Amino acid sequence: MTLFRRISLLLALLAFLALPLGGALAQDVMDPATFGLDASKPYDGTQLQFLICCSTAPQFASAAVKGAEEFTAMTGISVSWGDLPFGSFQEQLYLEATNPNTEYDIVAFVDAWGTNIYDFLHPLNDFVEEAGIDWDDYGPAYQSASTGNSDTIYGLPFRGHPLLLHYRADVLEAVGMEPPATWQDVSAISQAIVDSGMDITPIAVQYGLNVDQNLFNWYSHLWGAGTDIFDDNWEPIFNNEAGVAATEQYMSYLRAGYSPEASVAWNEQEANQELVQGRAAMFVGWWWMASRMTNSEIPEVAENAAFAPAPGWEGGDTASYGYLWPVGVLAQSDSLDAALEYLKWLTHPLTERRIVLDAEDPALDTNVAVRLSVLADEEVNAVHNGLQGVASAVLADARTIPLIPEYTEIIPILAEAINELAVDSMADTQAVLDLAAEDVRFVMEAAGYYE
Amino acid sequence: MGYQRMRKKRWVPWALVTPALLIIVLTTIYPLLAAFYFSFHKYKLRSPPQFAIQIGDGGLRIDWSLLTLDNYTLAFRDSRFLNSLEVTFWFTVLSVALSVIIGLGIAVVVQKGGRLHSLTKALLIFPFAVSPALKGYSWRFMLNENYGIYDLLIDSLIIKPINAVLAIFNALPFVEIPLLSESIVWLGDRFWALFMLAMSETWGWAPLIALMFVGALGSIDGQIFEAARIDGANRLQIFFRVTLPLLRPVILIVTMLKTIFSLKMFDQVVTMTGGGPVRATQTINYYIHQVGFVRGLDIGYASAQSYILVVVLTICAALYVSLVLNRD
Repeated sequence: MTLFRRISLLLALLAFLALPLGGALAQDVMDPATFGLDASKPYDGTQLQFLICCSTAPQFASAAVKGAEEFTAMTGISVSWGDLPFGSFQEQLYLEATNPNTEYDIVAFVDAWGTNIYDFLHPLNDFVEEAGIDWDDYGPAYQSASTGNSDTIYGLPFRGHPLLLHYRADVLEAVGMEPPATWQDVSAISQAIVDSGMDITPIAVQYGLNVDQNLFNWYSHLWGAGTDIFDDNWEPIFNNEAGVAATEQYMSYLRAGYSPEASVAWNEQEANQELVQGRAAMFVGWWWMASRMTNSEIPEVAENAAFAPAPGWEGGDTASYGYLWPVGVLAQSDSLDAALEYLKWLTHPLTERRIVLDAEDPALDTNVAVRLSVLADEEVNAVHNGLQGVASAVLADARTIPLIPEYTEIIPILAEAINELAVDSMADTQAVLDLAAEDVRFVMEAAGYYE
Repeated sequence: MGYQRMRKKRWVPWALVTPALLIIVLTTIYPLLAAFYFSFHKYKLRSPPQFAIQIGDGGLRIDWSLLTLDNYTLAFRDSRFLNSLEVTFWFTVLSVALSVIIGLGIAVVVQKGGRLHSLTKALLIFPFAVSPALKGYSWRFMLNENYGIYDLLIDSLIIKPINAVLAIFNALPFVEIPLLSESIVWLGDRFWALFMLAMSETWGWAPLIALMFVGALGSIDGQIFEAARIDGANRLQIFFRVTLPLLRPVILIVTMLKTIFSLKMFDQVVTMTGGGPVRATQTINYYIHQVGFVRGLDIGYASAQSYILVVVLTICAALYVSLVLNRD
């Protein structure tokens, strides 16, 4: 027997032996029982409409593709994903959610926006219990964001984002510094980079007004310094002594020249672009952006891409904003049960795990997971170089912003105050924050919080 | 006989215009009236509205207690609303002036004959065809200090030559003129952000206005210019004393048209500046949209703001008609 024949026979034997195994694996994800779905297909032929933004973004795209292939085969339910640009999504979400005749059944929403549509969402408490969804598999920040800090579950965590420090390992190594654990360390490392004479911006921070992205890192400073937006009586306290210190630290990266002058107008994407294109050494942003750095076309950026938890406050707390996209069902949906059936599949840990493991196609490659079990999964961490482990560490201390409807009116007041401090280098932090606090109080008073 | 037949068929014209009237009533008149009605209510999208006019088992009932002027009084205490009025005013002044002046300049240059001029005239319509939202994104990109073409052009063609000249003067004893900054953050400075927003609008409008002026210039009798030349007028005198007065009707129409469009500025604010820096480019339409559909979902307040804008516009239009058009 020739060597070629022997190898062919061996391969054929292996393929034969692997058949049942492959079948079992395929059966797992194609078996309705795996996801708790009704195998009798009671909703066969139902067409669901899913209102979501940016469905072609890798963090969403994989679920859309797998759902169309697998969920529809198991249930006969087809789901049509919307694809609205992020900039116009908030408005569309509100208009559709408050429309009694909307064609949409399922909605994904940013945590802060959800507060305005809670009354139009189907409460999911009974569903979570009946479907046996392990609520404790979600971190505290994501639980808060899904319930609006109440007892009602308005949405299930779908895509969630901790803040990570994205940094250039080679630059930090060159100045002999470890990744910063605190914001004060960020300043020290930035100064070391400046002193070294390296032709690179120490840190890229977004201070511009654009969907309020200049607040994300400010929250970490504020909470780390031991203060908050409101006290227990909903009085604004971000302008107290700790708030002013936190804000001044946040502004110091710009005022000391560590973040370029142009960052007063940057949005999150533009700040991240500085890192990805090799002009900046550090950036603190959402973890879904990590792949941009690792896939940078500039070899020295991609090869030296490194990630660490978002910094905390020296001698204080480490707390950052855990940003969540919950997914919920509109109360006025005509296909409520079919929509809940879809949520079982969409938020199932097996679905989530398979999505993050599927890293072959760049269009579907995402590191984003929300369940603690998936974040702790060794295989998942192996595929993404331990990124989920870093995310878990951040989420342990993460929290969410005030989840009251009025907060959507307050966000621009705060974002403008931060932008004003950035634009006007001579502005007095205390005075600007005091003025913002007055405006915030005006909104809260009008809403009846102080009656 | 024909007249009597027409009298019998008086319904025909009405039947022909009824579809158009219905569409206008449904898409314009009804929303206008509804917004006026909403503006006297506390009506936020996130909670079920309670309106004064109620139709129930007992028939039509009006609950006067639900009608309020709060939305109107709030507007005049709302610094953001007052700021948006001011921003809109300055944006309108800037964009109208730039569009008309640059449009007129382009028209004077391209009005002469020739194949190249015809091609230029044909190409002029393209900037106007670009969607405003895309215009905003493009301008934001092009003003970027790292890779923006406009930033590069302004630095290379304007700032660096000026600084080179200033450097020569600075070489003289006792002369110290500060050099211009080469790193202007266009969208991070209150004035420049508003100016660039106006420029993005001008980029689209000036060529269209130029085409209107080209048409108007072509309709002026050449003998008038000939007579002026014979009388000894030079080119500048002919332009300011002959051409401009003859273009006055077109200038008025173009100014009015551009003013209306400038007052409606919205798209580029969203995609180019986000209303910033601080509140420097928050136009009134942008702010009303934020109040009604993004932030407070406060339809009552947004409606009241819209009606205040209607009143302001009506006053402007009346002033315009009485001061300018009537004089002609």
